[in-house]
Amino acid sequence: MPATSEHVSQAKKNEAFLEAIKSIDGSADWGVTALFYAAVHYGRAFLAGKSTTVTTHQHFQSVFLRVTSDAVAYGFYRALQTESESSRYDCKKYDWSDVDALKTANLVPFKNALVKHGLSI
Amino acid sequence: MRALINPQFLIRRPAEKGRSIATGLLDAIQDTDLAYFWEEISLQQATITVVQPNTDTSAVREFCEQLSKLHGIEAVLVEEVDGGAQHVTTFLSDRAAELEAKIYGIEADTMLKHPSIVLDFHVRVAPKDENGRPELPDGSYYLLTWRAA
Repeated sequence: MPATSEHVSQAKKNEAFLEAIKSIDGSADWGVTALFYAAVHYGRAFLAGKSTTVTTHQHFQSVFLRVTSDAVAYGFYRALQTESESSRYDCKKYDWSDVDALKTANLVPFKNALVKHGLSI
Repeated sequence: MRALINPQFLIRRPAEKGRSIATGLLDAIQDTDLAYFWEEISLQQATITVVQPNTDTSAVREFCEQLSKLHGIEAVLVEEVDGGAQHVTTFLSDRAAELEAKIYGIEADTMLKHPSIVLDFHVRVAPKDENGRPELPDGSYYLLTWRAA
């Protein structure tokens, strides 16, 4: 399974991808998905080596809470997950100001929480 | 014979995974040649019928009970997926950040209280029919369904 450093690298790649597609019209929905997958990899980076292997999204939620007991950080992750699913499955429309707001309100504090729990980013 | 159910809260076993105790009992009733039909009524107290004793539904039942105190929720559908995880989808009338934050808090409380059960939560807006009424998936194959009264 990927190590912490590999997950951090993948998370940063997703954040870079988000910046790279900002110039493409109508791509903000993918920006929302890139935000979520950045959170996925930061979260898995934190759990790498700390718990049973997380192989699916469905195990991540339970394992993350079991390890951290951090309901606030969980809420940031879930907000990004719900937006990403709304974008992908329910065709919800987003613009880049939405993406920036989601990043500030959820991805940034989620990363900060993980750093507080000991993750090096 | 008249069977009463509360349409708010049903617990069912996915049909493809084999016959349940309840199905066996129903077969036995049919052999007696009694007339049988379902009648949907609304009760103040939830009526819960467990027909699948091997799956622990205590966590999702508590989750639904907590959610029933909030406004803006249409239903909760729970599926059992591969590996025993319980896939829980909360259907909202409309997106609402404050409501969603409360739901995430209840999700977290539920998981912390039931660490041995793997729960996988999702939140979606309920699809609507041409008249704007919620049009939820058929819950007959779900492990548990809860619907707002």
